[in-house]
Amino acid sequence: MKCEACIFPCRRLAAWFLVWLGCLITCAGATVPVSTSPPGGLTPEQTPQMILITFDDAVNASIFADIQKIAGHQNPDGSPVAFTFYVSTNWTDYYLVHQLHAAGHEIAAHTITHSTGDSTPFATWIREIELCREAISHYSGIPIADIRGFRAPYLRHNAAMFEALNELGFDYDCTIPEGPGLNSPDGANYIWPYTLHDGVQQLMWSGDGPSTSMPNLFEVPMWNLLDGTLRHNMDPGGSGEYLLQLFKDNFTQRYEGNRAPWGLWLHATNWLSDQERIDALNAFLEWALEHDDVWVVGVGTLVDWMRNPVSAETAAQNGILGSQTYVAVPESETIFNSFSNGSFRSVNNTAMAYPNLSNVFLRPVAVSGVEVDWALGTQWGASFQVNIRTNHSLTEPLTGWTIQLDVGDAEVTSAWGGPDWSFEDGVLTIVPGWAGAAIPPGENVLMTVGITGTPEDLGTPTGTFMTSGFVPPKMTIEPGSGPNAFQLKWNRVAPIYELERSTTLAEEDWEVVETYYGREEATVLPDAPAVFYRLRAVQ
Amino acid sequence: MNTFQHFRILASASAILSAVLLPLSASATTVTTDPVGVVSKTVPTGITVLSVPFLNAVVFQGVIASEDGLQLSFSTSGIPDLSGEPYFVHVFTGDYAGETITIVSATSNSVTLEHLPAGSINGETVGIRAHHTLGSLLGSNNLQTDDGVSLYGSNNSVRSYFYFEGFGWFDAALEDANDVIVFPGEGMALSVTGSRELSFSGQVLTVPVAFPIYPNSINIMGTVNPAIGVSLEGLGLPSVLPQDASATAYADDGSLTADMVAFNYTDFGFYDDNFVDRNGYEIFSTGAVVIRSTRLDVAVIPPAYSSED
Repeated sequence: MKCEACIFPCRRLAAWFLVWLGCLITCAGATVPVSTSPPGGLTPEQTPQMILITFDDAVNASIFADIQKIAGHQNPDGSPVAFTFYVSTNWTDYYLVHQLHAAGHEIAAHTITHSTGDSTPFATWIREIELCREAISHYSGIPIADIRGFRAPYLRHNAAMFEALNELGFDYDCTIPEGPGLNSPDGANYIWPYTLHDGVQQLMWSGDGPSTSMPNLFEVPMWNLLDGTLRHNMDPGGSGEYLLQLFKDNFTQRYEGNRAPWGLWLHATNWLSDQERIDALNAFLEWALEHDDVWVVGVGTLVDWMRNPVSAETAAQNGILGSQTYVAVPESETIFNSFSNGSFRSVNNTAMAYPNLSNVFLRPVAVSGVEVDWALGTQWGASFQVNIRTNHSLTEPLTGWTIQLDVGDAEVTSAWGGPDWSFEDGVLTIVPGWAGAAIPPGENVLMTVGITGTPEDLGTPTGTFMTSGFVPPKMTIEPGSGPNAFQLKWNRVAPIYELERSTTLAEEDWEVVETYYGREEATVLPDAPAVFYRLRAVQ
Repeated sequence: MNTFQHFRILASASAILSAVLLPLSASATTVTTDPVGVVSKTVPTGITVLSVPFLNAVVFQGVIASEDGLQLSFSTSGIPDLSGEPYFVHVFTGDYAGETITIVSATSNSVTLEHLPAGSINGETVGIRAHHTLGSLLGSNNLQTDDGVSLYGSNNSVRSYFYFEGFGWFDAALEDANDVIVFPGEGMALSVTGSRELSFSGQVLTVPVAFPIYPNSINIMGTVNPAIGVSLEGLGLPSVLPQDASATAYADDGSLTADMVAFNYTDFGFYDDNFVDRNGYEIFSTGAVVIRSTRLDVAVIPPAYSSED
């Protein structure tokens, strides 16, 4: 989403000025220059004081339990306080991520492997970030559009990282620590978040900033907590008493200063394991939230407010700073995904493999050439057994498979023989389970299921044998909004898409004309009487 | 009692199989869409015999698990809401590949058809697409009031429609005609009072389209190929049509002057009055050929693209 008019001025100055001014006013990505003044012409006294509390890395049961110990506070509008979780996916329980999102917290990306650094190339950043976002969305049931922030592992960044975030359409990065220095004169007058249209406006202790203008990407500084000349960044240490005073002193300094946001950047694993720290943080939040213009918000909410700054009084009325909650999927409806290299719970979607850089977009895909037999076994009273068998002549054992059987009016009550199974709405779903069962060629008895009812209840069985695969993308075209513009739309099946163009449809005539990352649509301007497009999804 | 129940799952979904077997080899890292495209066409003042070289996108694809009269049930659910515009089933595999039948109603896993398929399509893979309509094809395509179009029916009927800027298409009785279906491969006679710049966009045909040739009627057959001209032979007409069936193609200048008139001779194909072989005469991408015959036949329009091209 580039607004080119903002970057490339027209030749005629007057026209340029009008276009530029219009863009500044209307574009979603209007630039916000670095400043120590609140945005939108607000005075500090009018400005809501925002508190940001963020947590990095995997979300597991222990962390989730600790979070509950500090999440019981309320914002001025009565909504629960919101934290931001920069989630790396290894070891993450996606159902807990779903619960955090449902409770009003922000979920953001922190890579798949947590192994990036300031020499990581662009292609790796793309995969680490996009596949992290996709895994969280797919397995936690969170819309992609809600995952719009990023923090780099180890706070190590480079130009390629910013380029990747920009290409993927992220709203903000929150990676670069900020202390008094370049543009922040002191702890009472820290810089506010700014867009990267003119590069990073902070001192960088690691790596580089973007090498091109990125007017749509915000940098949210990780403001240090100051204790004289001592600067605390992530996971501030000290006794509970020390921390409470540190928090209060910095808050007061900020609240009485320019009201730039107050931030606490944590790894929950260690920091929240100490009851003293939990007590200190709770005491601080209780104290700070006595002010009716203080809000504990997600970083994304701060970015939204930066784009549309309103006074504390207005914010209390229009809900822009309040957290949005919803009813989480019940635990009884979660899916347990178990693999030889790890397990996790998910909502809505069954995993085909433990998420890594090569498999996040694997999906169950119907496969032909596989027969499924079932043979009636023992019958007793109102129950009977069915042996489910497979037969295929493919050259390799089938792994990562799923079988879905419509069993009519019968009810499956038990099963044994290895694979995991579930039964819902008349459909028996069988998956490999912990052992990751491979189905060899030829005829095999897969498992035996116990069924309540009579064999006649089975009706005419229908089913689908699926294995894991990359789903071919489907692309549509329709007239666009501009003259001779056409809109291409496709489904998310990969992190990278190469758009190919041809005027003949002949195989040798296709050429890559554009590469897209994490997108689902593009606008094209056909430049010949007959122009064709196809999309190559790259895993 | 039948103590052993057996069923074969998705036995013939070759397209799906290929998509799955690639990942099984652990070497495939890319998957590619079928192509889409845009064709622009300047229509001169007068009457032009025209066809649309694209189909609409497949909104659902599945395997027929059972047939019960006009109702087809799929092995999987997921058919989207089909209300609001007309849709059709497009048979992708088997002996009747290419057949298209309009849908009259649908559930999440079944459809009811307007008429029976030519034969059993149980076990075959089919797709569901939206029909082209006058409104969708020519509703906002630079036409002007007083432009008109004629479509030809199975019983030698002709239906004429008129365009009113801001309102779209109406028939002679001033009934709204924007939802009038233009069937896959069906051509039309477009009458315009000035030169018009038209553009068509959509999915490139990757499976055949079966085109019915009605006896003693005007059949306007397009090629559904946006890239290259397709010959009469390429459309399979010499072998499908009976002796003395005629094929007429018109000049692309709005004059409705015949550029080619040929008759089918058994074992030889199409020859014109000068005994010139016209089997290789190519119908251009937005053009059409007018066929008159004495017998009901089905011609098969070949795919415009396959991934092996």
